[in-house]
Amino acid sequence: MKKFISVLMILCMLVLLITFGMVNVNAETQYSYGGQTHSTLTYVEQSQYCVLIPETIDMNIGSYTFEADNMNLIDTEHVYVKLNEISIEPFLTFTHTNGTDQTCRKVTRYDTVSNTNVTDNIPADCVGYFSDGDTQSEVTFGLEWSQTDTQPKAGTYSSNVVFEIYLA
Amino acid sequence: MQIEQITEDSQAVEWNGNQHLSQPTIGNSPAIAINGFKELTFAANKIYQSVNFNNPANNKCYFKMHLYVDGQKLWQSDYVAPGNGFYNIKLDKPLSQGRYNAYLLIKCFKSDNTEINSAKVKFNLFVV
Repeated sequence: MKKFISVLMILCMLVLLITFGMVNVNAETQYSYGGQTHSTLTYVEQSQYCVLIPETIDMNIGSYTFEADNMNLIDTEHVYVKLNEISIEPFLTFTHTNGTDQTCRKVTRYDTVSNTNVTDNIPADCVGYFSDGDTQSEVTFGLEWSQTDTQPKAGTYSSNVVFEIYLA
Repeated sequence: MQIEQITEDSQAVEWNGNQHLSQPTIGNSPAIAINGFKELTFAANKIYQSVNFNNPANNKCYFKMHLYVDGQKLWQSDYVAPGNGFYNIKLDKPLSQGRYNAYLLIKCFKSDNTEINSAKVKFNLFVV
């Protein structure tokens, strides 16, 4: 029995030695002054945002400027809102409440503040553009009547679309 | 030691549960609040994953959420009322380690089941 306890104690000591040895090997280099240890603590706060999209697109409103409840981004990041439906041609199709008649309107974009055309590197199908802290998109989008259009049937038209939202 | 008496905030009112918050609007038009994020991390080779997918409380519409990873649908919800969401989801299949292009397709419905505009929130998915 004594022999067994002795072997057990030796084993325990070996385990302790190995464990503490490993801790010392893996410990990061730290600088100690007068008993104080200095270290730097860091963490990453993830970018987050909350964009408001219209429930439906009503042609009579004329133009839309996206808004945001929260836009907490890194300074170099932007949130883009794209309209999938206009990625090839800048046109949106609207359907009459009778379910059959349709009409088409060109989507236009302009700078929200200066009211001038959007010409810089914002993608062509981007209808909303936010920087950190923005509560309103820097791009406003509207709908333009085409002069070549035939007179559409009287009534109410609406369109449901998918807005593609991403941070880059 | 002098003991200071505490003073109650006179603006505080008796709490009777959350109040009804006003619906989001753009101008005067009704709008839908969509939460976005840049990236998400999943555990490799597991079907149960932690997320923060929710329908913001001030919305009036219902969400149906669909998670697509590299173009393949791996999860979908039923109708989610405003103020509700998911902390845990079960994927249709586990993912191996890597970086994926993913998006959360959020289909929005009025309470009468009329579909309104939808949103597709794109993000980077890291599986580790």
